[in-house]
Amino acid sequence: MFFEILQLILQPHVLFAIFIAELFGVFIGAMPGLTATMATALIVPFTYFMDPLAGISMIIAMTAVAIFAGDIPAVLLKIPGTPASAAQTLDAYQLGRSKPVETLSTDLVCSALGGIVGSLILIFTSPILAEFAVNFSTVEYFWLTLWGLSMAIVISAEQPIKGVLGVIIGFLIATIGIEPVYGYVRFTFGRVELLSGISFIPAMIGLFAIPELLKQISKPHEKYLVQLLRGGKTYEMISTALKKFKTTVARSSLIGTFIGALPGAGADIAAWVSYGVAKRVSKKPEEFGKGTIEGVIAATSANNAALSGAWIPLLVFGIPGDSITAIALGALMAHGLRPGPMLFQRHGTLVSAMFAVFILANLLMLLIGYLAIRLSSNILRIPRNVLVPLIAVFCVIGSYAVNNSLFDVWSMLVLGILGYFMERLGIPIPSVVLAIILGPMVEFNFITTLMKSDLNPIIFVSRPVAAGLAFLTIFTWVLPFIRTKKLRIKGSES
Amino acid sequence: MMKDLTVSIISITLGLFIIMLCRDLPMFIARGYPGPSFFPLLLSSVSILCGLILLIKFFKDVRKGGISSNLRFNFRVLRQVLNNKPVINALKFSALLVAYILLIPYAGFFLVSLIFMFITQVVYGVSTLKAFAISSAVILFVYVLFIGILKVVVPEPILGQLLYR
Repeated sequence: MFFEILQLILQPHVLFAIFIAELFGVFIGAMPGLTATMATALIVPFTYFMDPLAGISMIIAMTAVAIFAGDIPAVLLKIPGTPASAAQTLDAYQLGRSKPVETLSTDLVCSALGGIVGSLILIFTSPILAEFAVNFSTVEYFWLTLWGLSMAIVISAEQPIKGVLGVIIGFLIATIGIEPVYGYVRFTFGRVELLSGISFIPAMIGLFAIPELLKQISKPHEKYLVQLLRGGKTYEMISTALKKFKTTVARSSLIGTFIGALPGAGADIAAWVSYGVAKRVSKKPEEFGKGTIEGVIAATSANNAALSGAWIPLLVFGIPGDSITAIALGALMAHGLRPGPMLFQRHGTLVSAMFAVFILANLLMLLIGYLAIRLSSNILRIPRNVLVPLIAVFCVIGSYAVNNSLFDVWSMLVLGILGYFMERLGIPIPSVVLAIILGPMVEFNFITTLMKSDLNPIIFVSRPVAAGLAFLTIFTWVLPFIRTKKLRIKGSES
Repeated sequence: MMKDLTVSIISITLGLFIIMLCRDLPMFIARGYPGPSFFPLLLSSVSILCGLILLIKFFKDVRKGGISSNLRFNFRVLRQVLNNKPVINALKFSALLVAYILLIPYAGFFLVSLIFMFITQVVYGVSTLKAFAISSAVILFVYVLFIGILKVVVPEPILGQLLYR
């Protein structure tokens, strides 16, 4: 088995795909404003034309590097390249003013370590959870998907009510087409192209890439001038930091993986939580925000670990942990791989090879990341007025390539403009995306469960796991009210 | 605050629109099982409810007195927004994108992409020669990667298909 996996991942085309994806990840991650999610949406249509392992490896490798590369402009310009780098920006920039290469190299090593710890947890927990999940019925899946939607509301929006609206919009987008239980046609306005619903990948490209392009083109001449990075006592700083803060790396990686595995919570939230915990338990909390490497290590280990964590619910239950895995779900389905417990039984070798790619991608990131640090000034100099039209062409070809349909390209554009306005109004796009995926699952599992029980609602809490998940879901709904009440009490006390 | 008012109007309108669309779909079917419009109607009700909550919040703020000056301020902001260079840049780009997608079926992906990249760069301040060189290089790269290596199908032109074969 081990040699079989090794043979699979060491195929030249798989290694080449990982290498190219990492280069692309560096480029997107290092450009402020362009996110790893957008890069995933752009890359997915092209994975359709590869074998499943090469295609999925591209997504895994690209996201890992993009999240690290987001720290490059954070260190050099005080601008996080991706939202996942925001937590450590202040500390990273302060440190980077005197030691940019050393700070970025330490950041790179800790990112890789976080990614590897997250991958190991993914490797060891997923098969166990999958065995457990084999016994799940529509009742458990109903609560699990509803809990995922609830988390998307609670976590992703500043105002939960706008999170609810995001979920409603996503859910309604997903209801277009042939209804899954009875086969009724809904909201197609007579268009044949809409019978199978809005294509998922063009929708993702539209929702994640077009709003970014519209924002970026509003400052067409913006480019960043950074001096070439040379020299630095890299090894010394890395070894000192690792010796001193090994507990921080381990703790942050665990926190990152756990938060990544929660539906709706991504690498950015993992980084903030881990940064907060590190500050609370630190011997020198007053140094946080003023340039401490401990803060950088805590956030960077957590955000990369979260990436692997997000694959746990995706592979085991078919429920994505964040927007990146939501898009990856589309790629898996396109290759005929239906995530869920049966995936481990039917495609065991492929799943194991994917796990190995997680480790390989994080190791290769050390090399690509180091090159990126050295070449960062060149990447940051590319002006927006050159970059934006280039990405727009990729958006069009990517949307078209999925079904060879211009209708998909128009869907991408319409949803992109819709996404731009939603962002401006504070409606979170990740909630919309999770609802597009989880909405139909909630509907299907709810109706089929009621049919099975002949409309007896007791079935929803009749099994222990279902009852536990029901409690968790209701607790998630109540949580914001408890938090508001606590804040009010605190406010009146002070 | 104005954002909340906008969101509330949108969510109420969306809710009502979905209710209207669901009028031909049954909410329950035989034996009382939830039908195809059950979830859309549930969602539209929640959407209307959210809109009403935001609207009530908005009017509460009006009562507190802070909103009239805010509304006046926002008309000024609206004027500023319409004369705002970043907004104009985003609108120009949207228009270019629409024209790009509209023309693809007539002139084919490669030619229209080349023209789109070239015009967009020139419009946003890149010199003509540089824009042409970058656009040509990118299109050549796209051709080699997508057609040569990945065998991706791209939209072909209705007119003059021979040119591309």
